[in-house]
Amino acid sequence: MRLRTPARLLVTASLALAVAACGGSGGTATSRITSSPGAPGSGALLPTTGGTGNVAIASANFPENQILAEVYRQALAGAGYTATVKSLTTRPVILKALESGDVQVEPDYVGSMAKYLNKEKTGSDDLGVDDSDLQATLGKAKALATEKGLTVLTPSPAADQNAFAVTRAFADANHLTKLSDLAAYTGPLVLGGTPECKTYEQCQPGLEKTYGLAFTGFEQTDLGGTLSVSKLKSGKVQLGEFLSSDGNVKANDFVVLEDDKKLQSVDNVVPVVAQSVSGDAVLKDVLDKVSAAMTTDDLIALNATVSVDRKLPAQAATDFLKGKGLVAA
Amino acid sequence: MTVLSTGSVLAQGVPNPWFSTQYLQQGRSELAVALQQHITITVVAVVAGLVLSLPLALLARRSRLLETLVLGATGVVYTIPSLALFALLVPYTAYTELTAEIALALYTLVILVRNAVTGLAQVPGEVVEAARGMGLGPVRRLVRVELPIALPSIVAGVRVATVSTISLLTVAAYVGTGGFGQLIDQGFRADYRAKVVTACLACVLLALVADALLVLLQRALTPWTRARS
Amino acid sequence: MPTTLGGWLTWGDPAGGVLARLQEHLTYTGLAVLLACAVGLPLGVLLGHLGRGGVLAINVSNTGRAVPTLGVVILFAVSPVGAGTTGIVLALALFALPPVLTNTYVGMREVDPEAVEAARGMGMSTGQVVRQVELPLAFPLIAAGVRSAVLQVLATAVLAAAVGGGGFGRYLIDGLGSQDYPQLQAGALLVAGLALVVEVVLAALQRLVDPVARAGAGRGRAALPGPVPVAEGT
Repeated sequence: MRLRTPARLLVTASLALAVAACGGSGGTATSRITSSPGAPGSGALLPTTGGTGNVAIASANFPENQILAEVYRQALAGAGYTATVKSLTTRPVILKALESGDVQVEPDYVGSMAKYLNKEKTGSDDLGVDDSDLQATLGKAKALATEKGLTVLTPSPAADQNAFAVTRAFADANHLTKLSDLAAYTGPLVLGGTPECKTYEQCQPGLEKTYGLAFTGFEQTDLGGTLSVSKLKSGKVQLGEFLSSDGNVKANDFVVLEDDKKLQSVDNVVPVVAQSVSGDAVLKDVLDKVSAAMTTDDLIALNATVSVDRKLPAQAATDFLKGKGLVAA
Repeated sequence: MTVLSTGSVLAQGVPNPWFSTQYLQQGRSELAVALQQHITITVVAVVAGLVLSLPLALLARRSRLLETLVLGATGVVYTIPSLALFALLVPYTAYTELTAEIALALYTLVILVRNAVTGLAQVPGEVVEAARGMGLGPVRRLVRVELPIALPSIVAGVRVATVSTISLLTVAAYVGTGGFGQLIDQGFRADYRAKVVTACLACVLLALVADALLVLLQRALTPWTRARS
Repeated sequence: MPTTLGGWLTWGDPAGGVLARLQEHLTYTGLAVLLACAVGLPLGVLLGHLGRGGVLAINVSNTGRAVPTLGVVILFAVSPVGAGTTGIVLALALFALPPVLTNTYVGMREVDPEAVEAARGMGMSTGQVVRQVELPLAFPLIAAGVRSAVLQVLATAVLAAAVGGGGFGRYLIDGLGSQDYPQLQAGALLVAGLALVVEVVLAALQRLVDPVARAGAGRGRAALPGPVPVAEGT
């Protein structure tokens, strides 16, 4: 056999590592999620029966969305559904999958979803309603989604929107606390964002229009992941796109510039479901209860569980469901 | 037990070892799912490629021109980067496993067709004549005489095709396909070195194991080759 | 943002247009192949001349096929090297190495031993034997290896975009993310077109540079038939 020696070495080495791995105990056992007695939604167990059939939940390609998808999956599985998570990438891909029936549920954010659908329909991001008003924005989101055969459920108190950050040194040197302070800055200004940032109103175009910023360049980053942090730190990027619930911002001593002109809309977490399950009362009940129990602090804690404690999204989701008393410990 | 702890990009002071038992334990189920997805798609792609390659090989051996055309066409497909081919299929097959399977099957053709043609060409003329003389029609000649002689060459091609497919499938993560590629990408976004390393190692291991199994299969299918030293 | 295929292909904006992407793509490819040759050529010549290390030189290509390119690119991206040009070039160079090393080794081994004997008999030193006899005769295979490496890296360089880099892969990754099909198609077309042009240029270059052909001593020996899938073109 041609590959005898190198193959044997590799197989032996890997097996040895695996055996050694099985022996040790790893990872932090403590959960970051605690439930305060009397908090909304806490302590009320989710339904454990009534669910039938398959439910596929789409997740986008950033950890927070993966955690949310896992929370939904475990909650629905507990109710009896055969629930799986399908790791997709971005909103256009996920919405296509929802419409085609490949997936039935996705965790989204009220304002961003409304703006995306509006732009797709009319070419403009202007919703025609005050997008810092949750109810108004939600109404718009629901209407636009219904036109595509999708149903927007009840939003959670937990919210997470785009947050733009700079390094502390940069903020101090240029006296920056809010985004409108940047308009006076005249040096090189490279924006770091996801590829979608170039066209999403709440990202590059909005920064340019609403705050009058003139970017000298654009670099691809990943919503608070490896690229976002390294490119901001190294100076390749001066202003980086993060999420407000991201633990990496504080951990790296970045400064989030305040969105004083309210470019970002209310971005409460909300499940969006496909037509095929929109009539399923048990599904809606489970997801509504999960949404009600989640706060922004929970979201921040969940993100830290993954980025700092290095737990996997599935584990973080279990911590959440158990910590909130939604699932029997 | 953690190995080679070096700093994390994401957060000061958060260890980011290249290999960690924590991931091996916590990631057991996602690794198992990725393994199953990776195997399934690879098998479908290689089998489909094999099924496609035989008629193409038969076509190619009819004439020099046809051989050039067929091998040329499969060669051209091979130069398209996998990400590009997956992306081109997406408008038609969306983010489903079919996208990956079609593209990967097409990639196997360049080696499978060539090896099938070479294998069939190795059948000695006298053997074919003898079979014809015994009254075997073209189909039975092919199945009973020519293919068994061509088998070692074909299986050698299947080995290369399988290992290549296992490796190429990782790129399909960008069109939503499961398998180890998806874990590698997730590990990258979460700056989780141990996840990236483990997924890569698992992928390489799978390729080596598949190769070894195919060698055994080849020996089982062609016992007469073992008699020769 | 252009919305048609034609729009994407004629967009020459230096901040991110086709020319900028082309330059990035060629930079990744050129640097990676140069690095691979800097390591693989001398090593292959040495091992081939001495007749040692054949197992390594040949199996590196077989084992290389089993290693996922995306994995290596991302491994460099999460390493202290980081997700910039350096990491991308190093990863691509690792993939360019097997075809260069294997073909150089095999080319050197297949040199007619009688020619080497004759040269030694004429009193040539080892260095002269290598430079004036073995290398010219091994040239077709070595050139085939380098050509194979260039085309492979050209194809694999699309993955640079997956770790935030540039090149034509940007059209693929961005197009997939926003489900912008014209952008996807533009990216695929550009990469295929570039590969075709480079293939033609390299073939012409090889004919120009081949020392045996130039010396008029008959046609250079044929290289291995076709684009040998020695290692993976991703």
